[in-house]
Amino acid sequence: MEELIEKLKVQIIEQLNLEDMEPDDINPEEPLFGEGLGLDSIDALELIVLLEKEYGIKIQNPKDGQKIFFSLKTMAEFIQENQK
Amino acid sequence: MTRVVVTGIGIISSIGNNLQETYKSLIEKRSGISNIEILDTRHKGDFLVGEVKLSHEQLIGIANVNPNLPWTRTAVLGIIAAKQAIVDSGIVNKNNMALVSASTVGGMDRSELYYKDFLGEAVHKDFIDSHHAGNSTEMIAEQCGLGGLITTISTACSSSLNSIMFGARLIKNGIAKTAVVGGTDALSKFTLNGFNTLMILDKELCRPMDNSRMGLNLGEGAAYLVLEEMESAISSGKNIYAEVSGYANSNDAHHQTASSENGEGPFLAMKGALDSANILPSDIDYINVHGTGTDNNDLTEGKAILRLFGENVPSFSSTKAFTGHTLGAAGVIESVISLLALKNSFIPPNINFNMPIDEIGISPVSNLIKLDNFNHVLTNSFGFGGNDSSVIFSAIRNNNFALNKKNKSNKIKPVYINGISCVSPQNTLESNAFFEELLETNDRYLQIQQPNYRDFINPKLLRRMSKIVRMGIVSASVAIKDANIENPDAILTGTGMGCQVDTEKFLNSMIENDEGLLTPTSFIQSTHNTVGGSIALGIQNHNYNLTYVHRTFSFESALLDSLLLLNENNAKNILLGGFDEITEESWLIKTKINHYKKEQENNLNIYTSDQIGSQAGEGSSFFVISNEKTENTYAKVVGVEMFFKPKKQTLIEDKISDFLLSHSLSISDIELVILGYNGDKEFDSIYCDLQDGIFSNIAIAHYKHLCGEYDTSSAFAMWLAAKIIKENKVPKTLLRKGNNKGEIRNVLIYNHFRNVNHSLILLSN
Repeated sequence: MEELIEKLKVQIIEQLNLEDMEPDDINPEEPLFGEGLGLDSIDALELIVLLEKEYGIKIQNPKDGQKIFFSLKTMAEFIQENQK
Repeated sequence: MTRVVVTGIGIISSIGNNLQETYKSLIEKRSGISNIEILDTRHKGDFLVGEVKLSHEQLIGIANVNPNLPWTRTAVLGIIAAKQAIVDSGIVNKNNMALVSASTVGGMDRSELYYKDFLGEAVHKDFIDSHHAGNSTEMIAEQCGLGGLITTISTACSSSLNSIMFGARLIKNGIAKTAVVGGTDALSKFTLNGFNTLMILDKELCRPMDNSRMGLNLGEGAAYLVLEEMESAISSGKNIYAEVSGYANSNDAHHQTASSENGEGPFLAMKGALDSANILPSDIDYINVHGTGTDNNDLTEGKAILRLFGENVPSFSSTKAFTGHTLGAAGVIESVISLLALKNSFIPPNINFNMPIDEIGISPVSNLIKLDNFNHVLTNSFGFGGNDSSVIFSAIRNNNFALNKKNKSNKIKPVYINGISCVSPQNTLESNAFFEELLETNDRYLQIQQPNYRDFINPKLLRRMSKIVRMGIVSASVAIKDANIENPDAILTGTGMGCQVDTEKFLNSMIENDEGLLTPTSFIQSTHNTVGGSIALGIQNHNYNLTYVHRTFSFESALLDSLLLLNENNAKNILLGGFDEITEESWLIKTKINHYKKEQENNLNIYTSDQIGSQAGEGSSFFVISNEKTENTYAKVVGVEMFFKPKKQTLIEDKISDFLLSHSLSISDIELVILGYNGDKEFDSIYCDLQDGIFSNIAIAHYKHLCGEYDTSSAFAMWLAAKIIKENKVPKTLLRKGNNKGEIRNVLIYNHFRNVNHSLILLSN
């Protein structure tokens, strides 16, 4: 889990072009959207592609993203549950 | 003010190749949505689309054009519809007929097939110059023999409602007597994959305004209207479809692609259209809603309708389940449907509707119904960048046309430049020194001196912005500050090639990944109105916001629109800008057709260079222009003029003299002419002839050794002219001939693109 979270931090920074961020700046419990990291709906779509590209997990309904991408932790849990 | 009516209609879409077929499909409830057959995509079978079931060759046959020219599907669809509209109007003399067209991705339907070839052997190089959004407009103008002003608007999915609006205003302001207005967009892999990354494509039939809606079906098509002055149309006994009685454009200033929760932009657009038509919400008999079938649009549009109409929501329907969402053509296609409804007293049904949307509880008309006493129809189109437009068409009945008294004072009032800013390959943003020394580089193309963007833009927002968006926002904000205003009443922008960095990024990854695993950001940002929309978002500006995209007419069209807005007293302060960016790939592609020089060159030596082509460049220049003079005023804008493909050199001289005469000036009143010399010997000869001819006694300046050649470089020239007038000094580094010692009262800018698009801008002190 820890390892996955660290990997995700790097991938998110790259995919979303978060120029000013270092992996340590992201708290795994903190909300990714709105307050917290301040991501928005376009970033959610980027993260959906990231899940498919890096982890082979396909999300059909973008609305599911809200729950899955609540925080780094929920995202990592979702990946663990859904990876074959 | 002059009233404007529709006297001709042409249309081609998935529900018919002409007006009669379109009408028949509507009353027979026959949708054009089907499997993909023509578009060569790996998504065949994945999505349903509103496709015109004719191959490229078949369309070229119907359009009756020379099959050997580099036609895009977008251009051919446009020609078919525009020809029908002109025939329908019965207009024979087209010498001064204007054309305002619209398109989202221009010639992308061919570019996406040949892009890698363009970068390599360039076997298909004839198609390189068919890519820009103004190409289809020029093809239509030439094929239909239109001799008036031409221009192109690109504001994503609201584009062609904006072209109807601008065409009507050209007539009302006396710039044109008749105009062809509308838009064209072909299906392309670029847009199909782009919308797919946004996850808003429904794999089933779309269900607009329905509670179970899951997204939109894309479509393609073109439609054009012929607009005329009401008075002359009535006196010549024309068949009149309706009056263009109201229109407005607003900006949602909320998000790049999604509407705000309470539909602020849509509300303001509809409200503005009602106000400009001078009618009440209760006067509207039918609304043809934007109704794409996406979760966000239909809900927020419904909320905006409820806010405006309260408990008395008029009959409404979305017709996108017939045609699909035809993007840049949607506004005019739905205007045609609205005009058919008005003329034939029926309401087209919102097919595929079952259940009203929970949150709003309003139901569209889902069966064809007859409607007597049908007087006013409102049609909506909303686009990326928060660009929201509404147009109202009103029936002309025997008793309701009061012809106005003749008002022949059509002269545009002069306006003032009260703030300026420029990002360019020179130090133009922060330095006050006025070109005593120039930056010199030895490169293949010139690139901007990058400002420290973080001083101007929130880093969180910066991460998505490509070069053109960054330089646009920086120069816009500096111009606003320079003019010392809060928020402008309108934002008008021009860009020839738009967001090339993002377009290339999406196109390349689409081709390289065979249409798989694409991400949305570069698609969203590739829209031509991204800069205008991002400025509005940044300063929370809900006002009129248009982007013109017609090569070297782009900035000039935005300037003309600004002058008209001020002339109509619809604005006090306007933010006006022109910008283009150069990329390695776009530079390389245009070297294949000899537009740009292939080898590096010192920018100070371009005028004597032996290499073919010009030296490419880039930049962004912004202005605040106003109808009031302030302490900071730089200069007065007296006028702007564009002309397309003059047949011989003497016609250029005539145009210049006529332009000056129309402002009560002659050539001897001009102290300085700024010419667009770019080091391409073949085309610089046009400037040379003028320099030795009608301008032989005037000081001449040139400027492209500072900024390079790009479509909106005349915005740089206007920035230069404004500074020259304010400082009453021409830097030696710019002078080509002569040296004016006296007062600089009038400065004329003349620029042309390869003897195709010519423009004149006149500034005074």
